[in-house]
Amino acid sequence: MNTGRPSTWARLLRRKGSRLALLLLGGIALLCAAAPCLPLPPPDAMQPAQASQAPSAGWRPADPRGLAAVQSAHPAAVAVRRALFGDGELAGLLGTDGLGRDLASRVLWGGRVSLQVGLLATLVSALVGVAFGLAAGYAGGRVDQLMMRCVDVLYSVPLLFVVILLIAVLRDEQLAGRMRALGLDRLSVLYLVIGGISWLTMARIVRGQVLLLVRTPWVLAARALGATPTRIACRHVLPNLWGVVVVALTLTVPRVMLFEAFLSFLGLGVEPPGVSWGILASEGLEQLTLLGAAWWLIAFPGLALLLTLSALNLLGDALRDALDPRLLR
Amino acid sequence: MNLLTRLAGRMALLVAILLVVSSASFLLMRAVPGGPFDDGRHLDPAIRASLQRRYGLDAPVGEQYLRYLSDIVLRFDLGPSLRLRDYSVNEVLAESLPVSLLLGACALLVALGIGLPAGALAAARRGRWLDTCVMGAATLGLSLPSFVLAGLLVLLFAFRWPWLPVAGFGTPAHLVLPAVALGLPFAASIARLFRTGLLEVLGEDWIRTARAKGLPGWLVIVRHASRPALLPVVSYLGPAVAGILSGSLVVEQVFAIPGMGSHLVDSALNADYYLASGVVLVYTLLVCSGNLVVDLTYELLDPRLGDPA
Repeated sequence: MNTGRPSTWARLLRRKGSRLALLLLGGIALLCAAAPCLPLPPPDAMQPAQASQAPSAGWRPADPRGLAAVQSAHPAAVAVRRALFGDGELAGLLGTDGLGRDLASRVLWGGRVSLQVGLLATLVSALVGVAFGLAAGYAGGRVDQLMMRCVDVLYSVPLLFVVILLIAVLRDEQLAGRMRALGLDRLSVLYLVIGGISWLTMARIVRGQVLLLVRTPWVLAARALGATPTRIACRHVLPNLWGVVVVALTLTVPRVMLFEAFLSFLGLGVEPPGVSWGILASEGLEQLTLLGAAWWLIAFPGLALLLTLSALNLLGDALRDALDPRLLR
Repeated sequence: MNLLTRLAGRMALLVAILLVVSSASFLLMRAVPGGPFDDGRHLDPAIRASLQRRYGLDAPVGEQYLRYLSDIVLRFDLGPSLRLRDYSVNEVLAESLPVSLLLGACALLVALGIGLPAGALAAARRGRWLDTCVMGAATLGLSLPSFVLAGLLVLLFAFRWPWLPVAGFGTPAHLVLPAVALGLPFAASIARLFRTGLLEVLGEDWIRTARAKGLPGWLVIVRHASRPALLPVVSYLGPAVAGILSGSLVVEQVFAIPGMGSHLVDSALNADYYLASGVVLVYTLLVCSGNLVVDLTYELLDPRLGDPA
């Protein structure tokens, strides 16, 4: 294609900040993904004798019952863990909470949920946003005007508050039961809702890009050769969108993760005994106002959120710079 | 004239938004099987029947919708609260709205009072260590969720050094930590925007003229450079107001402040649909009118935007 220009990837890696962000994100994601393989107590195992202990690591034999509970859900991972670390576990690395649950384990297991909701909600928002923007930009004219006017109105509605109302209604036992019958548990409802309100920026960006793309010579040529609109949209326009879409996606992930933490913190997102970083921060604050000095309960979940979100923001900005259309010309 | 047409357009949009939000909340309430009052655990049948009669829930859905809207538009009657006995949503709002507004105003003051000087300092010391420190802190502040910040503040200034109350509402001291927790992330954005704006302006010829007159550096910034550099900050205030209002949900919860946010969260958790949708409507009104005020201020500040005649 265009020779002599370093690839986007190379330009991204040239910056120290984006290398650090990638490393950090990769590390966090790997640790969270590997949580079942790591020699940590189960996230929900209560040990009242060791409640509210400050961080102090100690190796001890694992509780076979807790291990069995993890094993039933993740048999392969626990097999790996047994092979690597034997039957011991590293307890109290980041301290314990008021019920004696291990914080290090809870932060990693909570990260699985937070990252999962962040990625899936972003995926939902990308699907809706790209489809909407593609349709509006490609249709053009009145249809485009109408569709974008709808986006403008939705933009001005503080959707966060409406979403709280929506979630309040969906908490109703009967409705939740009907959703479960459709195969939607609370977590999927959560990322569908979050993704469902986060697609507006994506739609605007994609539509703008499509308006530029439909005037390019190759789209004109394809049209002159008699290609159908669907074929042009999928074959010629969509593949040229990935740059802007990737940037928008990277910047959407931290927003939706923050939103999940926000809702879970308020008790409207992930529900205990499920764990997410928002839940952990909320429990940490509760302990804090009750007992005072248990700083680790708020500091470590907060740190996990802070590192992940700032790495994502940094990466998004760096990607935007690396893909800057002014540099591409 | 031009301004008036635009204002009329904005008002029309505001009405459209309020209509969308109130229709959405009506639809959501009706989506609950049995309607908003159907909860045998909390209401005895006689009361439920009389409530249903009072709010016309036996009427067809279309008529109910019209009545719901006309109650709001004509009498600003948002209905009863289902969980707070003997309270109407209006009474709850009358008590909690001033609290939330006070907290929000203090947070906005914190955001501007810290963000603007920090941005100016960073711009004046561009490229030095002070600039690096301020901008580094601002970048971190952007990614710090307000509840984590609130936790850290409580840990430091209420437990480590017991200077300020942990939670509650009443005295000015009670407001300090919540306002800082709520305002600080927005101070970070404001500092970044103001710094960028100032750096753009500081290269201009008329700034050199001001310097050549012998004005001290800070006076050049305060008197000459800040007005155009404030424009991006002003346009950010709209989203900032929306962000502060949504952040207050969390901060009110953390510090046990009896504002609208606490009521919204409680009503959402307790299926108090009338209260929840009333509070959502008021929040929408606040966010939209905040945006409107900010946009008008922007036009007044920037002579290039107004019409020449």
